Amino acid sequence: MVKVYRCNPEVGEKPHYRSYEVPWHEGMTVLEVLRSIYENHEPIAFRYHCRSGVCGACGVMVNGRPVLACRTYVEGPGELVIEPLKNFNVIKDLVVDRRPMLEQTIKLEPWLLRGHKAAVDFEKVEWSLESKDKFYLLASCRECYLCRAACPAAEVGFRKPEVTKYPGAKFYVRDLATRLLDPRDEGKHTRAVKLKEDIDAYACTTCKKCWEVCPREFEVPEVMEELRSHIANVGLGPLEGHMVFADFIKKTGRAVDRQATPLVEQVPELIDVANPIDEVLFFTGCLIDFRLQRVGLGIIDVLKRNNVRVIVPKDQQCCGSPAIRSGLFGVGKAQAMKNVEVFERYGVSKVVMGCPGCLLTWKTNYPKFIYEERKNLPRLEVYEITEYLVKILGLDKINKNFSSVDMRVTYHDSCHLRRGCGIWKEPRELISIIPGLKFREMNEHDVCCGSGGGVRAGRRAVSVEIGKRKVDNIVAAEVDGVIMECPFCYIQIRDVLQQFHGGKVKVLYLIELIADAYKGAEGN
Amino acid sequence: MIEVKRISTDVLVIGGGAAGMRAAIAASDMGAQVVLIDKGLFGRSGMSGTLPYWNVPAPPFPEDRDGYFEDLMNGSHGLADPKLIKILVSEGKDRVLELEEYGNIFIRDSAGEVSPAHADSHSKARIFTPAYSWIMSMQVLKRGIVVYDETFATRLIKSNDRVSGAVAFNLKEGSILAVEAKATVLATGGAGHLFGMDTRLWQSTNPIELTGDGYALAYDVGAELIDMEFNQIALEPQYSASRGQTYSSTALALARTLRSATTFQETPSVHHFLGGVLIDENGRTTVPSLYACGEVSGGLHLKATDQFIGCLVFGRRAGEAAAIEKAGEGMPEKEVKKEVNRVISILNNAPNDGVPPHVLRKRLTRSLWEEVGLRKDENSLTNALRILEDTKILLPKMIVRDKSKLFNKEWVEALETYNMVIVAEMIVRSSLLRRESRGVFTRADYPRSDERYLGHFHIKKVGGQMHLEFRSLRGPQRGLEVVVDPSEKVK
Repeated sequence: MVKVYRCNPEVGEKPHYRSYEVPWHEGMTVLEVLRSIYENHEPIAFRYHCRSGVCGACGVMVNGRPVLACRTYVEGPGELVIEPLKNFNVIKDLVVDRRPMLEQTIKLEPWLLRGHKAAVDFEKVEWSLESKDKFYLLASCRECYLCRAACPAAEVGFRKPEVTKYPGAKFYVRDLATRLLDPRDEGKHTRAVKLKEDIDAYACTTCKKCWEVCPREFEVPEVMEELRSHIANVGLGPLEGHMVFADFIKKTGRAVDRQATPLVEQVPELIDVANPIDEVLFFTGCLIDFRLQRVGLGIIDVLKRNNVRVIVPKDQQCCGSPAIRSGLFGVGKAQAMKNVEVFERYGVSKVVMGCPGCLLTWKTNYPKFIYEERKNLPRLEVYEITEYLVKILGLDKINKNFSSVDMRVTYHDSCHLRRGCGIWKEPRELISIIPGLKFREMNEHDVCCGSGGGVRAGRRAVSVEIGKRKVDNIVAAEVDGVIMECPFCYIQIRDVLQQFHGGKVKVLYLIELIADAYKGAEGN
Repeated sequence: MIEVKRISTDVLVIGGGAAGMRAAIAASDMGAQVVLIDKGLFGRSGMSGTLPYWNVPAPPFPEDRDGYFEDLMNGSHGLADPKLIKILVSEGKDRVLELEEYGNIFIRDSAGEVSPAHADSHSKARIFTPAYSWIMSMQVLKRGIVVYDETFATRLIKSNDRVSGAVAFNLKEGSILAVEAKATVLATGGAGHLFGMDTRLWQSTNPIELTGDGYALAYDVGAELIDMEFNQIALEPQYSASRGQTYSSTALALARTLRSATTFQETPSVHHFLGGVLIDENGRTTVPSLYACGEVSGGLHLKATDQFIGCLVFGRRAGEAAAIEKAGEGMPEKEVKKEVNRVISILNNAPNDGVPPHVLRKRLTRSLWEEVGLRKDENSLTNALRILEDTKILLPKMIVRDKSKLFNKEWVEALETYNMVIVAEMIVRSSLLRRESRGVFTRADYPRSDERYLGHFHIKKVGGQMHLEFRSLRGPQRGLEVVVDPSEKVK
């Protein structure tokens, strides 16, 4: 059964869904489904041209996910909901209006900008092989706009254009990144202005939703950070809200100010256990260290109860993520050097952390930075605490002496954890072993909460709008608590829930919940 | 009632692929006002928009002009017009280097030379790849050229003997566009989709918009076409995975490196048309004020690999020549009305035993693929002609089920079907008459080439009938005596 969005404004038809029986066969594509409806039922309107995934015309939403119809297989005879691409006006049925996209593209002037009329002496242009390869890759963008349809910031831009003008990843990747890679282009300053003012480059939460649906699998956050670094290099960025963090890092080595006693000062450097089965270093991260100390204590407690010796290096500093996300690579690199040097001192290889932002930085940025400086890689393996519990200790082997936690709960996927580090099964597995929890997935459980990529700090209004969509989904799930494993998401969702729903749903940090369940069992 | 929007311009370009865009840029750079009509999505339409990037000969080829000339002439088995090929070879380098000025990046070695790769039927490595369709489309938009995309030109309008504009159907608005122009450039591409209209790449690599509209439009106003029987077939990699495995329809090199992979399978597909609307050195057709360039044009007899350079060189020439055309008589109101009525009548047609266009098209394309596409002989071609005649009879029975005007793809399909029938007839009739195998044209019953057929079948509409005439390239005495009766029908 296939449900298709139908709407024909010409005859005053309101949007509605119509169901069609379409016989399924092995290897059937969504395009074949649409064509089959067109031929055998009624001529629904949809676009397609090349049938080979190159022209980018056949983008539609299938079961809520933007895909190219010609390159997407229908896995079985189950129900299929086909809708027009999100964040577009609909012309008719599945056909969306792409004209505004073309107009936006022209405004970005994605041709060679030359300050003077002199012709380019192409034979003398110096190109690094790396940037050339990158140019070819980014120029091969299919212009399918699946990135726009998947993007939480573009959704805000479409719904509330007064809040942000963020149009979707394509414009950054294909129209601006390609030209900024080009040594012949002399529009570097104009492009920085356009990036910042015209298309709001600081509204991207680097949630990687676009990467997930992109037919070319572009690493958009990486491109976005380079573009932000370009804005910073010409002196137009980052934003005021970002500078607070950057200044703190430069001054104190930490990203936030001291309010209560930081975790590293509350606990001894070595937390030993009787018969250790493993030994780990604990990288706390600024938010856990300075704001959510209870979460940090929870991590130490959970490790202790599983016979793991924990070392909390006193000299650790901010991972540098807030600087890197807003394009200040120099500050980020200095932090990487300091932290790696401190952690390598102990001769212990495993590093555990409870913040996906730090984890992503350690996993993706650190090896690059360290290699640039030392020509070798850090001698450290990094794990998120839930990943460590499930993968290293083993779900069947960990201590299960929990008390029952009677609650209806749902889980919010942190973007950095799920798409950044590929960790989404582990937290759910841990939730499943805590007795009493009644778990249900919420709608759009893996959509960004609005705090990442420096958006909460720099573009609060955008952040709140993205967050609103998140908390509406949480409330709609009719649960008592929402569980997550990320300090940024935790603070953001807590605040936005309070703002729109008066704290109706409890916000829970997974590792803290586990620690509490251990403690509860002890009390009995 | 349908809204008819009237506009007037110096140059009208029909088609938004490499040739059409180059023509529009050239005309605009000459100071002409240009309107471009594109049936697909602008910047991504046509065969050139459907490729991940373009294959263009590497810039240093002038040192090797003679060799390139020889290869193109030999590759055409004597059918290419040496006058045109000479121009192509001498201007090619500049056109390619322009692509770099437009913002493409070519791979150059430390000496600044471009490193080329080898292509089929070339005696040395000359092909260099990465140029992008969208980069050229930006040059069009930068110049402020008015672009109507998802707009389908349904007929060229004549004032006395010259073409004075066209009537087109704008899908997105559900309205009709009547464009009056001093000169019109056809750049509508080929007709690969005549051989298959599947939702996969079976049978044809071409995007669905390539239904031979330009051939039919030009034929309708009395232009001459040649070499319509020459359809290049390519082995195409068929994909089988979804995400992250986007293979270009023509990336044969990639297919070869991956051939061992079990997911891969190569199948033959109609890829490219070598013939088309006959042009001269400036892209002029045999009808005044009508120009053609790219795959829709005939005379260069280029294979797909060399077609891009043909698009660029003759796109520019056609655009420049069109830009200096003097204004003639305007579009006769009567003719515009007649065409609007025809288009509307196809939408409103409601016979009792109506057939939706896809039914007719499926039958026609299957027959063309099976009897004309890969293997053909007298028998199969005769069969194809019979099915073609049947299809013609069924045309008035065609029904468009959705009667609304907005984005009505079925309406477009119905209009296209009329063009497809005309083009199919050109292909089948000239294939029947060419009793030999030459270059990309193969007949199972005549597997060898026959020097008497060194020449072109010229197709023209005479008195409402399709007229075919053979003109030998071996001089009048030594040519083949082919008498073609235009009224000849296959029983």
